[in-house]
Amino acid sequence: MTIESAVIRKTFLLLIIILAPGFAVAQNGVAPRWEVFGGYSYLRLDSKSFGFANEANLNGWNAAATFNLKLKWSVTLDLSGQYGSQVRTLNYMIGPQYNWRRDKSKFFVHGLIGKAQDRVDITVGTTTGFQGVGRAFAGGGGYDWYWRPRITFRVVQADYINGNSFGKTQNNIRISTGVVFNFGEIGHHPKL
Amino acid sequence: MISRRVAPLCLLVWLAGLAGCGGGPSTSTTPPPSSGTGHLAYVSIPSGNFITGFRIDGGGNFTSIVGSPFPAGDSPGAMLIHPSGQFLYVANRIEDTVSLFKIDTNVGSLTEVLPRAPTGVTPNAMTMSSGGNLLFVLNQLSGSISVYSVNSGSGALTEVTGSPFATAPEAVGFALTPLGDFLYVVDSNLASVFAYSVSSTGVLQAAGVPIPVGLGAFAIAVDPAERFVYVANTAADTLSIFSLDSTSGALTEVTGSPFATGDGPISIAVSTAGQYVYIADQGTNDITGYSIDPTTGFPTVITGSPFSLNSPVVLVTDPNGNFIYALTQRSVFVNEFSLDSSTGVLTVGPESPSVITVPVALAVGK
Repeated sequence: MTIESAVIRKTFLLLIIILAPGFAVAQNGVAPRWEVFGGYSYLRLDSKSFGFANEANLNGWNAAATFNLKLKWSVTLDLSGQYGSQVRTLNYMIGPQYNWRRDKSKFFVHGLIGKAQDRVDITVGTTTGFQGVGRAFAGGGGYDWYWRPRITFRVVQADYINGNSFGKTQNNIRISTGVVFNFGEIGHHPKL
Repeated sequence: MISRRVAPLCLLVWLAGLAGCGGGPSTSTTPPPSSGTGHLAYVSIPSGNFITGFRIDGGGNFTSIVGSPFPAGDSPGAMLIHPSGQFLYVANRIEDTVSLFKIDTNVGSLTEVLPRAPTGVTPNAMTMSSGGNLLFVLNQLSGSISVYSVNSGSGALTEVTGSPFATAPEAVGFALTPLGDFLYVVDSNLASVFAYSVSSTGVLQAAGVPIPVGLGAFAIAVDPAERFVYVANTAADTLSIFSLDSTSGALTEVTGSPFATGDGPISIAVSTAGQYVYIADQGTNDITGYSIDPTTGFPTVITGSPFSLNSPVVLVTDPNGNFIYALTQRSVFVNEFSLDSSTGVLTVGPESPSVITVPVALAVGK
């Protein structure tokens, strides 16, 4: 088998995976077992709590893996990182998620808890960069739209994130959007 | 089976693209600081050779700055912030130098710009022209005043021709008129005020004979409107008030001066509009507030004054006129009083986070 033919074969298989009906969507009483999200994220960081003059508007990424226990209940592991010229922040959180599925839509709300890690990039004496690590919890939700059985668009996800680093409380707002990849299947197909 | 193998591949392709596009630092859209975002304040801690920074919001709440405390020279004391808000100058009393720090106005952090400028022996007070082009350093043990021109872009100091200028021995404080034409130096041992005219290039020239004040004269301040000069006489427990001729620089003691204060008046703060004067009475553990008659200079004790504070030694006025900040002899906090501009009454406000050891000087930016 030539290299070209192998590439064509893999591309064809990828298209099959994307376009082929892997499982019925929610109206049929089934849902993916795993939903893996990745996308763009904006964070309004409460950097005033670090002594900054203003809040910081940061850009970055958000990724999450959601394990659906049932059609309505899931557990979500959420990771995100946002960056600016003098400050960057990472959040690692996990928690329960409630889903409401209808036709090609899914609304969800979740509560998360974990760690916040903030870094301020300044040089003081011989030290460059100051890092604060503390607990974080978040509450939020979003809306997903099923495009293909294995691909969903996360139209929007919004979270309030309460962090605690550098000995101060931060009240942050995060907005995310991106793509969700679906794997596996739970639920039952209706009898015909 | 095929889908199980290829699906993770699809995910990896997606995540790789994500990392390539958005995983790295992106351009910050952090807006620049504005006047409505509070102001920066720094205190010097000579026992630890560092400077601690705070941001104070419009409500008077303190927030420690990340990276603080900042390392400083040997025994940092007097400090002042350049009118641009971009530079902090710190007098190092044992090292006989002045340090220049660049202020990151967004973060509030300090970065020292070396080398330090040499001064006379034991620099213990500093003042600056309102435009920020001249810096004056009072050298207590050498009895001199070092004058520096300030580079407006870099903040760098260049000693002016003829500096240092001789002044009274053991001078403990000085004050510059708002227009920068006259400098008044107070000498505690001689209980006198020495006046100097200031040229546009920073050259000092004695103006008139020394003016007697009370015993233990320690602190001096000039009215922002250039109407009056105030001298706190620590040993005499009095406040001397002089009317100021802003043309000649001549001082004339107002009728009734000196006026009784609490025990051990040691620091003076004048409100930004000049209508109130506050005296730190170290011995009686309070701050006495006076309403000043704009014509005669006669002080009237403000209703509710004195305001209790244990061993106050330094008073600083908020540039926006909303607060008076105080350091005390033993406290590791910056104390704050909100100032009622219509009555002059001080109300205890929030104090700063601990600065670990006792600070000796405070500088507040605009």
